[in-house]
Amino acid sequence: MTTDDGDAEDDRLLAGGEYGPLFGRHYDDLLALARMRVGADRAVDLVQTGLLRTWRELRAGTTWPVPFRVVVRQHLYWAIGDLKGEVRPAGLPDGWDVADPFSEEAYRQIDDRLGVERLLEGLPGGDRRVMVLRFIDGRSPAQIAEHLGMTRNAVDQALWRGRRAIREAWPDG
Amino acid sequence: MDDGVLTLFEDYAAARARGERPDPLDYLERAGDGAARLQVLIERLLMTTSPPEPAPEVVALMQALVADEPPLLGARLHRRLGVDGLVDALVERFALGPRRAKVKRLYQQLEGGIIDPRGIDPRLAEALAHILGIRPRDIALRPRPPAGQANVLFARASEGPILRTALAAPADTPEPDEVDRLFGLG
Repeated sequence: MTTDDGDAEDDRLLAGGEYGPLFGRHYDDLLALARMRVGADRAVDLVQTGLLRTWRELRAGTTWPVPFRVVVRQHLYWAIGDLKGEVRPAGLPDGWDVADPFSEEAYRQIDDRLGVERLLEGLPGGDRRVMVLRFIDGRSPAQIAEHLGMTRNAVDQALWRGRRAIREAWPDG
Repeated sequence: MDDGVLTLFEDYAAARARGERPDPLDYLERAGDGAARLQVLIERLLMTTSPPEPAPEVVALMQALVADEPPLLGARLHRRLGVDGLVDALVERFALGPRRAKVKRLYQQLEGGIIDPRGIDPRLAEALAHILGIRPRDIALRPRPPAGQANVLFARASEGPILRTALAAPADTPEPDEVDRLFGLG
């Protein structure tokens, strides 16, 4: 079964509410990851904590923009982070797509993204669209201008206002 | 890369694909100095490939977990095994005939989350795993959320003589016996 096939099977089980088989598909891999990361003594606890978090989010109606296998692995990783006293985001942000959810870089990306998204919510609509395309989608100013039908100068002005907002919000950043 | 590490990696991947539920720690131990490299390989495998079909016993454990029922109960019911049948198997395995009532009482406490499964004797974990068709490591799944998210009372010998006495030992058996030791209470 390819990864795509596996993701499709997860989606089928999710849609059918077959949570036991769905969790069963991932339990062993999660336990293997946990045993290698934290040793045998704490591994099952952390896997259970992660799965119960996933379960709580499912019951709350949460849907994720990433494959289920990524979600359960991230929840395990957060459980491991909690064990180490690390503070983690409350959930997976929309559009989260880091390649390796186990890397420290992934955490930084998520945290940065959450922070930027919160900040962008306070900007006027036009400026927010420009900033989202620049900081979330990673497009160049020229690409943004073309995408939004704006002049390059207007894009630069929106970016300047957005950066000023960032500087004001994060003076130590 | 060390050929031995690659061989171990391939063995692990093949066993996983066959649904044998291999323990990576066994492989890392065998890898010796190559353990770190092997761990990277196994983690990449687990991150980037679809899992094999789960064992029915694992599905039963997970069904119980999401139903907020004791995972051990889920595994036992999957085997169509009553508590008396399971206790009989334990009593026979450890030659505990005269202590059957106590074995049953403590097993029910273990299954219900009163006794911390992490503290039980490895021989008991092996026996339960054999009876239930699961791995000894699965015994540590608990019927409620782990510490910090629940108010389940776990009994372990290290937590004090009063608790140990209250949960494990009837008035006529003040000293921990073999049954206490199996359940991590003595």
